[in-house]
Amino acid sequence: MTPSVRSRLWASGFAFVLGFAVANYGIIRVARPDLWIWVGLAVVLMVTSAAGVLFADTSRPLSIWSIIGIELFAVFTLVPLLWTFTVATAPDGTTPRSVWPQDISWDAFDGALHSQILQDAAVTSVVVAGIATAVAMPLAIAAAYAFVRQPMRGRRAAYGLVVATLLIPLLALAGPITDQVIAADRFGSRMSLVPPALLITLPLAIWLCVTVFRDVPWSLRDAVRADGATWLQAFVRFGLPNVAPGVALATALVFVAGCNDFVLGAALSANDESRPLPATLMLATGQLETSSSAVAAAGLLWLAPVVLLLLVFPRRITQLLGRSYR
Amino acid sequence: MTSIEVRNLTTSGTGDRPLLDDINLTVPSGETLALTGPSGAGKSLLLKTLIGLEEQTSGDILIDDVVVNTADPRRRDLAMVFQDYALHPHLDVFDNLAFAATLRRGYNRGELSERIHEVADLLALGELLDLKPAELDDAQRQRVALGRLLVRDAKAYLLDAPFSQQSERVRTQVRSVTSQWQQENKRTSIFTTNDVAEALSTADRVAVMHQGFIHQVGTPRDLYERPADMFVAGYLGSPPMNLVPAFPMGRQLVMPLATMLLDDHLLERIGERGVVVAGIRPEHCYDATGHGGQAVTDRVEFTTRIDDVEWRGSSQFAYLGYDIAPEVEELLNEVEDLLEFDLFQSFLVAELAAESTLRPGMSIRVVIPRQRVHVFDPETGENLTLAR
Repeated sequence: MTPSVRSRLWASGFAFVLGFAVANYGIIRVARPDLWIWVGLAVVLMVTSAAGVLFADTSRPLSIWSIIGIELFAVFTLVPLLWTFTVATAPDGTTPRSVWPQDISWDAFDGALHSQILQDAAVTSVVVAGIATAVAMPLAIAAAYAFVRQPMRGRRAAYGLVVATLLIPLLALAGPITDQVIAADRFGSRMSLVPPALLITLPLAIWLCVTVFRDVPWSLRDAVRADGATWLQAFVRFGLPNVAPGVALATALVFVAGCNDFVLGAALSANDESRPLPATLMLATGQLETSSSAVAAAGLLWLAPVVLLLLVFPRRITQLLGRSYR
Repeated sequence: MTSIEVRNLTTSGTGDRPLLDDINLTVPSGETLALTGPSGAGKSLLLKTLIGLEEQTSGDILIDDVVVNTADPRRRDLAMVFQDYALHPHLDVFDNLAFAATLRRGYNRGELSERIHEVADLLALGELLDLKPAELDDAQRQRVALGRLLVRDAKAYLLDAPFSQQSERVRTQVRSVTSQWQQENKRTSIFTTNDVAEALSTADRVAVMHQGFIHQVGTPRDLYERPADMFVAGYLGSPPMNLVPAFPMGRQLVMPLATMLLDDHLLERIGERGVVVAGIRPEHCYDATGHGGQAVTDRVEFTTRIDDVEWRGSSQFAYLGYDIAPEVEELLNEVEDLLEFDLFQSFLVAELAAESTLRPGMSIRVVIPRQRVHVFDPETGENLTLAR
């Protein structure tokens, strides 16, 4: 659908006013070098505005409003990320005075990589999330297959329950689970984090697997069987190309979600050895020397695998998550 | 050479009515059977049950006189075209065509490639062998699915709506290529279709299926000229047979537009029934002044007003309206509800020669050969005209 000329002109006007305001505020109130961030943003908005006017009366499928939205979204995610980077690279003992990094020192990254506490925490996170994912995926695959393929009574209700579990505030469950863990005298052990971690991984895994399975061309499996494939042939020639990539990606996303859990990790661990990374970053800052830059550096390093995942499978991930939200 | 036989095949569904209702079919070796019926009749399910993808509740399936109820699809060794083509999205056309053959051990690569090129040429796929299914249109995808079936050396072929996406011009060609290949290789085949003309023209025998039940099996000519019941009569033919309520009065049968003399046989068959349904095919109505009309000797005649005319070049349809009493209409509606199919209209369609100039509002004298009028029981649908 092509947006109307009127809507594009309104968007242009909005972008112009916003860009003008940003430029003025930046020039009047902001010192160098952050001034250039403000001016840069203003220029981008003004260019958008100009493009809106130029393309207003064309049939191009181009929405100026959505471009403005993307630009604002980028500002609200990239600026904090830049700030994290600036904090992480601030030299020892200094506090950064501008968002734009000025003196870059990589010591904090070095420190984060060699910090025993952070290493332990990272290992805890990876081990716990890994086990929780490994347990959740086979169950989720079986459950998702049943949800998608088996005409059974009450499957809608059951699936609704799964999606509802996704939305449960984990904080509400953290207390009772902690009580149980203490009662079982396992408080503080890494393994005690695994069962609660399933609360995160299992519903998410089922949800993603259902999404994957809904897109699998099942009639093709019938055709492969009709062609006379053995069980193994059907798996290799149908399952691997049509189902496995989606399931592998779902596994990766579930693992990432498990790694990023903060609430349960913080609630269930007594000491640094058993605390996963996100919780450590929040709670244990006092115990790290040059705390803020170390935390920022660790956070950035923790981000790297996810960014890598997004860069390698951008289309598949947007497809999987996008379909889920439909 | 393979024969397929089905005995008392029943599949119960979640509803009241079984999805497949006590189906008996025999397809002798080398024969082509068409399964036709409105959508939702259970045609696809029957094929999937035959090939072993769906399980029946009761009844037997025999391939070459061997019961294969528990055999998996691999052992049954039938090939099938699926209604949604079921192509491998990650393989190109060539690999899709080769797929089934490569599943079996000891195939000859050179022979297979030769066969694939032969089939691809027949189905106008030669230029498309390197493309992925996503790059093809529906008609081409369907031909690939068809080609995959032909490439495979199965005992028999099952085809689920195999020509539905082909354009009118190509369809005949694809159909004849397929049936020629079958005949050369002496393959038994069963295909489903919504297209009545296709069923009648392509198959050795036709089975009319509706609501999971096979109403009649026979040669196309048999089915068309001697329909066993009202559904078969109303379903086959385009436009379909006119079905009008009729009232036996003494030796006469009173229809909305005409009155017909009953012979002894029909009189006896109708017996005590107060109302029956008379069936008249549109092409059996003749203009009394025209060539065909004058030649009819044993005739039913009536004069009426033409409501509407459709001229189609080779012939023309005259629509002749009539009224029926509300209580009779109610009865007909009940029959339609039971069959879940529109059989009755409030007009009679006459297919007349194209030469005569007809206009709406004109009055016309129509002649029908008496032997061509079918009489059905409204409740059971049984054709009373046929000798028992």
